[in-house]
Amino acid sequence: MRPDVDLSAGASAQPGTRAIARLLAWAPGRWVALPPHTTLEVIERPQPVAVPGAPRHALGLLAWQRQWLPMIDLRALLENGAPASTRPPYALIVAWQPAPGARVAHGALALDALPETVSVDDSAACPLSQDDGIEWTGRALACFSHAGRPVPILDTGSLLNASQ
Amino acid sequence: MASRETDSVRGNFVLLRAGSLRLLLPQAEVGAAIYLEPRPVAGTAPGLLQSPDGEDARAFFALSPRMGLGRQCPPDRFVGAPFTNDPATVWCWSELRVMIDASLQWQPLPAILCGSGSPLSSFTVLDNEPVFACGADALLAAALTRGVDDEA
Repeated sequence: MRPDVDLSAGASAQPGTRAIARLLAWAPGRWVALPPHTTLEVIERPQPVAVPGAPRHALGLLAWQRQWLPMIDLRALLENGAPASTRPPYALIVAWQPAPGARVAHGALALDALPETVSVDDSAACPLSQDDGIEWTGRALACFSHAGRPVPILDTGSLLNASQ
Repeated sequence: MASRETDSVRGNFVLLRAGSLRLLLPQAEVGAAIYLEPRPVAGTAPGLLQSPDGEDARAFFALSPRMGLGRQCPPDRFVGAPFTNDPATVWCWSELRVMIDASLQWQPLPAILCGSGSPLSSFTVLDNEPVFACGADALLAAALTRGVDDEA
């Protein structure tokens, strides 16, 4: 077990000192984080329905709980490239509230590996990376250091609400 | 599937399937269907197909699931139909289903799935799968813009 990862993270966070985060590996050695309340379910072997003419990072529509959700490839979105696979092993269902009082919206992120749950201390806060070639402005709420790398905390709504 | 922010529309439609792609067009935009026997073959230009025996002088197009033009007519395309705005061109489909007085719940495509220039902006669900709304003009423009799809 890595010393900076607390796998007993099911316990409630203590406000102001520690918080729980879901770590998503979007590339080898690169992570983003999501607040746990925005992550709902992991789907194995998701089968999105492709949407012709969609941007390259868009894998299509994924059926989930009587809804059809947009499913995107995070790495392709961040790097403005093409997805490594149109059939990733996992999809993470995420939720966000588009506006105060609005109904909760859902989407899906393609994953190559299951998310990790970590406990993050306030002292791990760090600036967003400016030199990784990724435009984090408007996509990340904050950042913390994990395993020696900055981990942006994603703004799920900004990420999945965006039009191209 | 239940819908979010749906728009209920009643009317006559034609479901057209090109491999895994399913489109729904207003019936008024789709002409009379024919059986493709024999199937069209590659013509004089990439993406342009023609009748193998020359009995049908019309041009043929086979839409790819990515809304490009196939170089060949895939084996599963057995039904053809022109669009009423261009009776001289027959489009080859895997399935053609006329839906009379159908009540459909359209849902907007999530913005992040809408590419610039894409003719698709909404969908409905039939047989538990999404079917995309499209107009004949927009479909033709998108296919010609995309051009030959070599992965078709």
